[in-house]
Amino acid sequence: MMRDHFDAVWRSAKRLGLDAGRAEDVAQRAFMVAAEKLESIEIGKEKAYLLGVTTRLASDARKSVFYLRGRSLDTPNAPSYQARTSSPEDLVSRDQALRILDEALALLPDELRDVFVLSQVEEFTMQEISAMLEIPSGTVASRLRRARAAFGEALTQWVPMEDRASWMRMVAGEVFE
Amino acid sequence: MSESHTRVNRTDRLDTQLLSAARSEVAPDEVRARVAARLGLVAAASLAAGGLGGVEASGKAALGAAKFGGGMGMGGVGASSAAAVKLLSVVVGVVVLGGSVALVRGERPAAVAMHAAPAAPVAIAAVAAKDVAPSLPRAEGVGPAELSVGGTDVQSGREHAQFAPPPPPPRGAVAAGTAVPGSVAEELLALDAAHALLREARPTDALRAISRYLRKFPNGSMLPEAQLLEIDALRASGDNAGASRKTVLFLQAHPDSPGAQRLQSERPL
Repeated sequence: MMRDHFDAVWRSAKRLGLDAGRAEDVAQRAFMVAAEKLESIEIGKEKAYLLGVTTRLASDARKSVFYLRGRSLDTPNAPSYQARTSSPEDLVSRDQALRILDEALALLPDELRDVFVLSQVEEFTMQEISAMLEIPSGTVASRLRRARAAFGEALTQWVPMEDRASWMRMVAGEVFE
Repeated sequence: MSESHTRVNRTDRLDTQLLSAARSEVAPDEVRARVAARLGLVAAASLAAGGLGGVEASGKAALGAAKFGGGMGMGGVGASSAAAVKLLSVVVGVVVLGGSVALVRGERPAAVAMHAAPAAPVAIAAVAAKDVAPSLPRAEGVGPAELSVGGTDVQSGREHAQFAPPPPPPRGAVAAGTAVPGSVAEELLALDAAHALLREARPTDALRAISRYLRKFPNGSMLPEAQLLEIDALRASGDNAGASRKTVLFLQAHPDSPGAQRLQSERPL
């Protein structure tokens, strides 16, 4: 299970707003929880179970006093990349892409980010997410819709100036996917 | 196709690229190795728990634990390192060995029980259970007490009664404070209490608890963890100067530890 799903658990913890150290900690805890509950995990649903646990653990970690204290040191309201890319083709560096992604995700409310990451990064269906997070599927759909819009808005600052108008139109709901 | 549409498509690649990068991100080998080592050591530690917790581990279970390291491409991770020795001493009879092995082997618990489960009904380690418990998925109705000794272990043990070691301690035994005086379990309980106080936003009480721990266990197995907790408590109490001093000392003493990495990441620029 760890061999197959560790990457997804670890990177999801990062996408869910944790720094590398906390992501590692949460990943470890997620597998420990899974070990405890192994018999109750449906075969074939191991990844969904692990990421459901990871999402909850990450939520707890974000609420901790230490997380909040750390967050105050670098507020997401001041992104370090201010549309520095001259064109999207410049985004060839995976590390840079991940940093931009995390900065954009940091601008999303937690409940939207959780759904967005599970859907758009880990590619779970809305029904699966509904089961993982134990929220109605309608809520998942609503959050995902709002999350996409918010994510698009968050990315605007990295879109070259000449493309922003079309980008905003797309984010407004007609084309974004 | 209009210029505008072309631009939209071109720009659209921004989010596509970002998400694609995220989907393909893999954990660095060192992260994977660290976590695997900890989890593997947890399994291995359960073997040692026989002496500490009255549970005797089997050779087959040892093989299972060894396969943990092998499965992660990290043969020899376990008891050879200092960290291993430490964890072996730290995890006092807790952690579902069968489950841990299954994590590595990708087998279901039943399969684990067939091959490695003579030691399955190992008591759960305070470190693992207590650490994870506050963050368990609440919707599942799993509380800390339920983690203390897994019912699944008991069940597995029942299925293989002919190999079964003595029955595990009652649910919540460790958490209930039944640790042998002077044992590592007692250290864990003391630190866990301090950690709980900190989580309850009671840093002053947490500092007192940590001070008690440091007085009682000046050379304790959990000393670095206690020091780290003390730094957190000092910061939470507003004593940033004290926290900074302790941080410097910690970084000097444990420069390569995960705790040091965390402290470094939290340092103001």
